[in-house]
Amino acid sequence: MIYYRRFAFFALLLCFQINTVCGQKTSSRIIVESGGNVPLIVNSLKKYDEGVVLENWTKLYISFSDSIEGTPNIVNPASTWQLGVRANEATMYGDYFGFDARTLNLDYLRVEVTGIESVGGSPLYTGSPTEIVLSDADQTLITGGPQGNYRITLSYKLGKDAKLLGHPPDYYLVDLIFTLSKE
Amino acid sequence: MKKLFILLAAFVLMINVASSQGVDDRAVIPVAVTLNSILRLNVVSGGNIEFNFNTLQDYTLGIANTPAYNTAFTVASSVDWEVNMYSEDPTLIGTDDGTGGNTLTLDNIGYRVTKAGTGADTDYNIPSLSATVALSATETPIVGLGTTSNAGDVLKNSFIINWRCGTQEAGMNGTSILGQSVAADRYATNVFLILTAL
Repeated sequence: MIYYRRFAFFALLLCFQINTVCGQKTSSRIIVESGGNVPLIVNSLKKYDEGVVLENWTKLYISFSDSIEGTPNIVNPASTWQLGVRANEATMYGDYFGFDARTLNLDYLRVEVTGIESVGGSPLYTGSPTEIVLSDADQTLITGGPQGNYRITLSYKLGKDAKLLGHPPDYYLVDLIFTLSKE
Repeated sequence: MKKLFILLAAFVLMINVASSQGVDDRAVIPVAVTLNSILRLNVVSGGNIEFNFNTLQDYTLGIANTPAYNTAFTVASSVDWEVNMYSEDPTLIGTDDGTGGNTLTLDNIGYRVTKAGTGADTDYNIPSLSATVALSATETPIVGLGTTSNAGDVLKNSFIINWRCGTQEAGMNGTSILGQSVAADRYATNVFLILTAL
Protein backbone atom coordinates (compact mmCIF):
# COMPACT_ATOMS: atom_id res chain seq x y z
CA MET A 1 0.00 0.00 0.00
CA ILE A 2 2.78 2.40 0.96
CA TYR A 3 4.51 1.48 -2.26
CA TYR A 4 1.47 2.46 -4.33
CA ARG A 5 1.04 5.77 -2.50
CA ARG A 6 4.66 6.72 -3.14
CA PHE A 7 4.28 5.69 -6.73
CA ALA A 8 1.20 7.84 -7.08
CA PHE A 9 2.95 10.81 -5.47
CA PHE A 10 5.94 10.60 -7.80
CA ALA A 11 3.64 10.06 -10.77
CA LEU A 12 1.85 13.24 -9.85
CA LEU A 13 5.11 15.17 -9.61
CA LEU A 14 6.19 13.78 -12.95
CA CYS A 15 2.93 14.82 -14.57
CA PHE A 16 3.35 18.33 -13.24
CA GLN A 17 6.77 18.49 -14.82
CA ILE A 18 5.46 17.12 -18.09
CA ASN A 19 2.68 19.64 -17.94
CA THR A 20 5.13 22.48 -17.42
CA VAL A 21 7.33 21.35 -20.24
CA CYS A 22 4.69 20.43 -22.74
CA GLY A 23 2.02 23.05 -21.98
CA GLN A 24 1.39 26.12 -24.09
CA LYS A 25 2.83 29.41 -22.83
CA THR A 26 0.63 32.47 -23.15
CA SER A 27 1.55 35.70 -21.50
CA SER A 28 -0.72 38.77 -21.50
CA ARG A 29 0.17 41.92 -19.62
CA ILE A 30 -1.58 45.25 -19.61
CA ILE A 31 -0.29 48.17 -17.60
CA VAL A 32 -1.69 51.69 -17.28
CA GLU A 33 1.36 53.87 -17.86
CA SER A 34 -0.39 57.23 -17.57
CA GLY A 35 -3.84 58.76 -17.66
CA GLY A 36 -5.18 56.33 -15.12
CA ASN A 37 -7.87 58.80 -14.13
CA VAL A 38 -10.09 60.38 -16.75
CA PRO A 39 -11.53 63.69 -15.55
CA LEU A 40 -14.07 65.05 -18.02
CA ILE A 41 -15.11 68.47 -16.74
CA VAL A 42 -17.99 70.35 -18.32
CA ASN A 43 -17.80 73.88 -16.95
CA SER A 44 -18.99 76.14 -19.76
CA LEU A 45 -21.99 76.32 -22.02
CA LYS A 46 -19.66 75.75 -24.97
CA LYS A 47 -18.63 72.44 -23.50
CA TYR A 48 -22.24 71.57 -22.74
CA ASP A 49 -23.01 72.30 -26.36
CA GLU A 50 -19.96 70.89 -28.14
CA GLY A 51 -18.71 68.28 -25.70
CA VAL A 52 -15.32 67.64 -24.16
CA VAL A 53 -12.34 65.77 -25.62
CA LEU A 54 -9.34 64.42 -23.73
CA GLU A 55 -6.88 63.85 -26.55
CA ASN A 56 -4.21 61.16 -26.13
CA TRP A 57 -4.99 60.97 -22.43
CA THR A 58 -4.35 57.37 -21.43
CA LYS A 59 -1.33 55.27 -22.33
CA LEU A 60 -1.55 51.51 -21.91
CA TYR A 61 1.50 49.25 -22.15
CA ILE A 62 0.67 45.89 -23.61
CA SER A 63 2.83 42.79 -23.75
CA PHE A 64 1.63 39.60 -25.39
CA SER A 65 3.36 36.35 -26.32
CA ASP A 66 2.12 32.91 -27.17
CA SER A 67 3.86 29.67 -28.00
CA ILE A 68 2.83 26.73 -30.10
CA GLU A 69 0.99 24.20 -28.02
CA GLY A 70 3.36 21.52 -26.83
CA THR A 71 6.44 23.54 -27.73
CA PRO A 72 6.59 26.36 -25.22
CA ASN A 73 9.80 27.87 -26.56
CA ILE A 74 8.55 28.28 -30.11
CA VAL A 75 6.53 31.40 -30.75
CA ASN A 76 3.27 30.84 -32.51
CA PRO A 77 3.22 33.45 -35.27
CA ALA A 78 -0.47 32.93 -35.88
CA SER A 79 -1.42 34.05 -32.39
CA THR A 80 -2.76 37.55 -32.07
CA TRP A 81 -4.28 39.57 -29.28
CA GLN A 82 -7.26 41.82 -28.93
CA LEU A 83 -8.04 44.68 -26.61
CA GLY A 84 -11.58 45.12 -25.37
CA VAL A 85 -13.26 47.60 -23.09
CA ARG A 86 -16.48 47.79 -21.16
CA ALA A 87 -17.98 49.81 -18.34
CA ASN A 88 -18.46 48.20 -14.97
CA GLU A 89 -21.98 49.61 -14.67
CA ALA A 90 -24.92 49.99 -17.01
CA THR A 91 -24.86 53.77 -16.53
CA MET A 92 -22.73 56.48 -14.93
CA TYR A 93 -23.90 57.29 -11.44
CA GLY A 94 -23.93 60.76 -9.89
CA ASP A 95 -22.29 61.18 -6.53
CA TYR A 96 -23.33 64.61 -5.23
CA PHE A 97 -26.92 63.82 -4.39
CA GLY A 98 -26.42 60.28 -3.18
CA PHE A 99 -25.33 57.37 -5.28
CA ASP A 100 -27.68 56.60 -8.19
CA ALA A 101 -29.90 59.64 -7.53
CA ARG A 102 -28.81 60.98 -10.92
CA THR A 103 -27.47 59.03 -13.85
CA LEU A 104 -25.74 59.76 -17.12
CA ASN A 105 -26.02 57.39 -20.04
CA LEU A 106 -22.86 55.58 -21.04
CA ASP A 107 -23.42 56.43 -24.68
CA TYR A 108 -22.38 60.04 -24.03
CA LEU A 109 -18.82 58.74 -23.87
CA ARG A 110 -16.65 57.50 -26.74
CA VAL A 111 -13.30 55.77 -26.41
CA GLU A 112 -10.90 56.01 -29.32
CA VAL A 113 -7.51 54.43 -29.95
CA THR A 114 -5.35 57.24 -31.29
CA GLY A 115 -2.01 55.47 -31.36
CA ILE A 116 -0.43 52.02 -31.34
CA GLU A 117 3.32 52.22 -30.98
CA SER A 118 5.45 49.09 -31.16
CA VAL A 119 8.05 48.90 -28.43
CA GLY A 120 11.42 47.18 -28.50
CA GLY A 121 11.38 46.13 -32.12
CA SER A 122 8.00 44.45 -32.01
CA PRO A 123 6.30 44.14 -35.39
CA LEU A 124 4.22 47.08 -36.48
CA TYR A 125 0.50 46.92 -36.00
CA THR A 126 -1.12 47.38 -39.38
CA GLY A 127 -4.80 47.05 -38.53
CA SER A 128 -7.39 49.72 -37.95
CA PRO A 129 -8.49 50.24 -34.37
CA THR A 130 -12.13 50.93 -33.69
CA GLU A 131 -13.71 53.87 -31.92
CA ILE A 132 -16.48 52.68 -29.65
CA VAL A 133 -19.45 54.17 -27.88
CA LEU A 134 -19.18 53.01 -24.31
CA SER A 135 -21.51 50.35 -22.96
CA ASP A 136 -21.42 47.73 -20.24
CA ALA A 137 -20.92 45.00 -22.86
CA ASP A 138 -17.46 44.02 -24.01
CA GLN A 139 -16.46 45.87 -27.17
CA THR A 140 -13.29 45.42 -29.14
CA LEU A 141 -10.97 48.35 -29.63
CA ILE A 142 -8.09 46.52 -31.31
CA THR A 143 -7.97 43.15 -33.04
CA GLY A 144 -5.20 41.23 -34.74
CA GLY A 145 -2.39 42.58 -32.60
CA PRO A 146 0.87 40.75 -33.33
CA GLN A 147 2.95 39.35 -30.52
CA GLY A 148 5.24 41.80 -28.84
CA ASN A 149 5.14 44.94 -26.76
CA TYR A 150 2.97 47.92 -27.59
CA ARG A 151 2.03 51.30 -26.21
CA ILE A 152 -1.62 52.16 -26.81
CA THR A 153 -2.83 55.75 -26.68
CA LEU A 154 -6.46 56.44 -25.93
CA SER A 155 -8.64 59.51 -26.32
CA TYR A 156 -12.01 60.18 -24.73
CA LYS A 157 -14.91 62.15 -26.18
CA LEU A 158 -17.85 63.22 -24.09
CA GLY A 159 -21.08 64.73 -25.38
CA LYS A 160 -20.15 64.62 -29.05
CA ASP A 161 -23.09 62.50 -30.22
CA ALA A 162 -25.73 63.98 -27.94
CA LYS A 163 -25.65 67.34 -26.20
CA LEU A 164 -25.23 67.44 -22.44
CA LEU A 165 -27.22 70.66 -22.26
CA GLY A 166 -30.15 70.29 -19.92
CA HIS A 167 -28.57 67.43 -18.00
CA PRO A 168 -28.51 68.00 -14.23
CA PRO A 169 -25.14 68.87 -12.72
CA ASP A 170 -23.37 66.17 -10.73
CA TYR A 171 -20.14 64.18 -10.44
CA TYR A 172 -20.73 61.07 -12.51
CA LEU A 173 -18.53 58.02 -12.16
CA VAL A 174 -17.87 54.78 -13.97
CA ASP A 175 -14.94 52.38 -14.31
CA LEU A 176 -13.58 51.28 -17.66
CA ILE A 177 -12.34 47.70 -17.72
CA PHE A 178 -9.80 47.01 -20.43
CA THR A 179 -9.18 43.35 -21.24
CA LEU A 180 -6.22 42.04 -23.19
CA SER A 181 -6.85 38.55 -24.48
CA LYS A 182 -5.69 36.05 -27.03
CA GLU A 183 -7.87 35.89 -30.12
CA MET B 1 -5.99 0.94 -6.04
CA LYS B 2 -7.15 1.23 -9.61
CA LYS B 3 -9.70 3.80 -8.57
CA LEU B 4 -6.97 5.82 -6.97
CA PHE B 5 -4.95 5.81 -10.18
CA ILE B 6 -7.97 6.78 -12.25
CA LEU B 7 -8.76 9.67 -9.95
CA LEU B 8 -5.14 10.73 -9.97
CA ALA B 9 -4.98 10.64 -13.74
CA ALA B 10 -8.16 12.67 -14.05
CA PHE B 11 -6.84 15.21 -11.59
CA VAL B 12 -3.59 15.58 -13.50
CA LEU B 13 -5.46 15.95 -16.78
CA MET B 14 -7.55 18.74 -15.30
CA ILE B 15 -4.45 20.60 -14.20
CA ASN B 16 -2.95 20.13 -17.61
CA VAL B 17 -6.03 21.53 -19.34
CA ALA B 18 -6.28 24.47 -16.97
CA SER B 19 -2.73 25.61 -17.40
CA SER B 20 -2.97 25.45 -21.16
CA GLN B 21 -5.57 28.21 -21.34
CA GLY B 22 -4.68 31.61 -22.72
CA VAL B 23 -4.21 34.21 -20.00
CA ASP B 24 -6.16 37.43 -20.06
CA ASP B 25 -5.05 40.54 -18.29
CA ARG B 26 -7.14 43.49 -17.24
CA ALA B 27 -6.72 47.14 -16.35
CA VAL B 28 -9.27 49.41 -14.74
CA ILE B 29 -9.48 53.14 -15.41
CA PRO B 30 -11.97 55.24 -13.48
CA VAL B 31 -13.78 57.89 -15.49
CA ALA B 32 -15.34 60.93 -13.84
CA VAL B 33 -17.67 63.33 -15.59
CA THR B 34 -18.22 66.60 -13.76
CA LEU B 35 -21.18 68.58 -14.97
CA ASN B 36 -20.88 72.00 -13.36
CA SER B 37 -24.09 73.97 -12.99
CA ILE B 38 -24.24 77.10 -15.13
CA LEU B 39 -26.95 79.60 -14.21
CA ARG B 40 -26.50 83.24 -15.13
CA LEU B 41 -28.95 86.12 -15.41
CA ASN B 42 -27.84 89.41 -16.91
CA VAL B 43 -29.78 92.65 -17.31
CA VAL B 44 -28.36 93.94 -20.55
CA SER B 45 -30.11 97.29 -20.71
CA GLY B 46 -33.00 99.17 -19.15
CA GLY B 47 -31.80 98.67 -15.63
CA ASN B 48 -33.36 101.96 -14.58
CA ILE B 49 -36.81 102.81 -15.93
CA GLU B 50 -38.14 106.34 -15.42
CA PHE B 51 -41.68 107.41 -16.33
CA ASN B 52 -42.02 111.19 -16.36
CA PHE B 53 -45.60 112.50 -16.25
CA ASN B 54 -45.39 116.07 -17.47
CA THR B 55 -48.54 116.57 -19.54
CA LEU B 56 -52.21 116.11 -18.78
CA GLN B 57 -52.31 113.53 -21.52
CA ASP B 58 -49.72 111.52 -19.65
CA TYR B 59 -51.88 111.77 -16.54
CA THR B 60 -55.04 110.70 -18.31
CA LEU B 61 -53.78 108.09 -20.77
CA GLY B 62 -50.60 106.98 -19.09
CA ILE B 63 -47.25 106.36 -20.73
CA ALA B 64 -47.32 103.52 -23.23
CA ASN B 65 -44.38 101.27 -23.90
CA THR B 66 -41.63 102.47 -26.20
CA PRO B 67 -38.01 101.25 -26.50
CA ALA B 68 -37.11 103.80 -23.82
CA TYR B 69 -39.15 101.75 -21.37
CA ASN B 70 -37.68 98.34 -22.13
CA THR B 71 -35.55 96.11 -19.97
CA ALA B 72 -33.51 93.52 -21.84
CA PHE B 73 -32.22 90.50 -19.97
CA THR B 74 -30.53 87.25 -20.90
CA VAL B 75 -30.21 83.85 -19.30
CA ALA B 76 -27.40 81.33 -19.72
CA SER B 77 -28.19 78.01 -18.15
CA SER B 78 -27.06 74.41 -18.45
CA VAL B 79 -30.39 73.17 -17.15
CA ASP B 80 -34.02 74.15 -17.55
CA TRP B 81 -34.90 77.33 -15.68
CA GLU B 82 -37.52 79.96 -14.87
CA VAL B 83 -37.39 83.66 -14.07
CA ASN B 84 -39.65 85.20 -11.45
CA MET B 85 -40.13 88.87 -10.70
CA TYR B 86 -41.34 90.91 -7.74
CA SER B 87 -41.03 94.43 -6.39
CA GLU B 88 -39.18 95.20 -3.21
CA ASP B 89 -42.05 97.24 -1.74
CA PRO B 90 -45.82 96.70 -1.73
CA THR B 91 -46.25 100.14 -3.34
CA LEU B 92 -44.14 102.67 -5.15
CA ILE B 93 -42.83 105.06 -2.50
CA GLY B 94 -42.48 108.80 -2.93
CA THR B 95 -38.86 109.80 -2.55
CA ASP B 96 -38.78 113.57 -3.03
CA ASP B 97 -41.46 114.57 -0.56
CA GLY B 98 -39.21 113.98 2.41
CA THR B 99 -41.87 112.39 4.54
CA GLY B 100 -42.01 109.20 2.52
CA GLY B 101 -45.74 109.21 3.01
CA ASN B 102 -46.72 109.40 -0.67
CA THR B 103 -47.40 106.11 -2.37
CA LEU B 104 -48.50 104.89 -5.78
CA THR B 105 -50.02 101.47 -6.16
CA LEU B 106 -47.93 98.91 -8.03
CA ASP B 107 -50.77 98.04 -10.39
CA ASN B 108 -50.17 101.33 -12.20
CA ILE B 109 -47.06 99.68 -13.61
CA GLY B 110 -47.69 97.03 -16.21
CA TYR B 111 -45.46 94.86 -18.33
CA ARG B 112 -45.31 92.34 -21.09
CA VAL B 113 -42.41 90.03 -21.83
CA THR B 114 -41.33 89.25 -25.36
CA LYS B 115 -38.83 86.72 -26.63
CA ALA B 116 -35.81 88.24 -28.39
CA GLY B 117 -33.51 85.22 -28.69
CA THR B 118 -33.26 82.24 -30.98
CA GLY B 119 -35.13 79.88 -28.69
CA ALA B 120 -38.26 78.24 -30.01
CA ASP B 121 -41.65 79.39 -28.81
CA THR B 122 -42.20 75.96 -27.32
CA ASP B 123 -39.16 76.39 -25.07
CA TYR B 124 -40.90 78.99 -22.91
CA ASN B 125 -44.05 79.70 -21.03
CA ILE B 126 -44.50 83.48 -20.91
CA PRO B 127 -47.67 84.47 -19.05
CA SER B 128 -47.47 88.09 -20.18
CA LEU B 129 -46.75 87.34 -23.82
CA SER B 130 -50.18 88.42 -25.03
CA ALA B 131 -51.73 90.11 -22.01
CA THR B 132 -50.42 92.91 -19.85
CA VAL B 133 -49.70 91.98 -16.24
CA ALA B 134 -49.46 94.45 -13.35
CA LEU B 135 -46.30 94.62 -11.28
CA SER B 136 -46.68 92.84 -7.96
CA ALA B 137 -44.81 92.47 -4.70
CA THR B 138 -45.54 88.77 -4.91
CA GLU B 139 -43.02 86.65 -6.76
CA THR B 140 -44.54 86.06 -10.16
CA PRO B 141 -43.20 83.88 -13.00
CA ILE B 142 -42.42 85.94 -16.07
CA VAL B 143 -40.61 83.28 -18.13
CA GLY B 144 -41.02 79.60 -17.38
CA LEU B 145 -40.35 76.27 -19.02
CA GLY B 146 -42.38 75.43 -22.09
CA THR B 147 -42.89 72.02 -23.58
CA THR B 148 -39.27 71.72 -24.72
CA SER B 149 -36.01 72.43 -22.93
CA ASN B 150 -35.05 76.06 -22.42
CA ALA B 151 -31.47 75.37 -21.34
CA GLY B 152 -29.02 77.25 -23.49
CA ASP B 153 -26.91 80.32 -23.95
CA VAL B 154 -27.72 84.03 -24.05
CA LEU B 155 -28.29 84.03 -27.79
CA LYS B 156 -31.10 81.58 -27.26
CA ASN B 157 -32.48 82.97 -24.00
CA SER B 158 -32.87 86.68 -24.61
CA PHE B 159 -35.98 88.59 -23.48
CA ILE B 160 -37.39 92.08 -23.23
CA ILE B 161 -39.71 93.41 -20.55
CA ASN B 162 -41.94 96.06 -22.08
CA TRP B 163 -42.96 98.44 -19.27
CA ARG B 164 -45.83 100.92 -19.23
CA CYS B 165 -47.36 103.11 -16.55
CA GLY B 166 -50.90 104.40 -15.98
CA THR B 167 -52.24 102.96 -19.24
CA GLN B 168 -55.22 101.33 -17.52
CA GLU B 169 -54.93 98.14 -19.55
CA ALA B 170 -56.68 94.99 -18.46
CA GLY B 171 -54.83 93.62 -15.48
CA MET B 172 -53.67 97.07 -14.43
CA ASN B 173 -55.29 99.79 -12.37
CA GLY B 174 -58.31 100.89 -14.39
CA THR B 175 -58.23 104.43 -13.07
CA SER B 176 -55.95 106.99 -14.63
CA ILE B 177 -53.16 108.53 -12.62
CA LEU B 178 -55.13 111.76 -12.82
CA GLY B 179 -58.21 110.04 -11.46
CA GLN B 180 -56.25 108.63 -8.53
CA SER B 181 -55.31 112.17 -7.43
CA VAL B 182 -51.75 111.11 -6.76
CA ALA B 183 -49.51 113.73 -5.19
CA ALA B 184 -46.66 115.01 -7.30
CA ASP B 185 -43.48 113.18 -6.32
CA ARG B 186 -40.89 110.80 -7.59
CA TYR B 187 -42.12 107.27 -6.92
CA ALA B 188 -39.69 104.42 -6.91
CA THR B 189 -39.22 100.80 -6.00
CA ASN B 190 -36.73 98.10 -6.89
CA VAL B 191 -37.80 95.18 -9.03
CA PHE B 192 -36.03 91.87 -8.55
CA LEU B 193 -35.56 89.21 -11.17
CA ILE B 194 -34.93 85.75 -9.76
CA LEU B 195 -33.47 83.00 -11.95
CA THR B 196 -34.11 79.50 -10.67
CA ALA B 197 -32.91 76.16 -12.01
CA LEU B 198 -35.65 73.60 -12.41
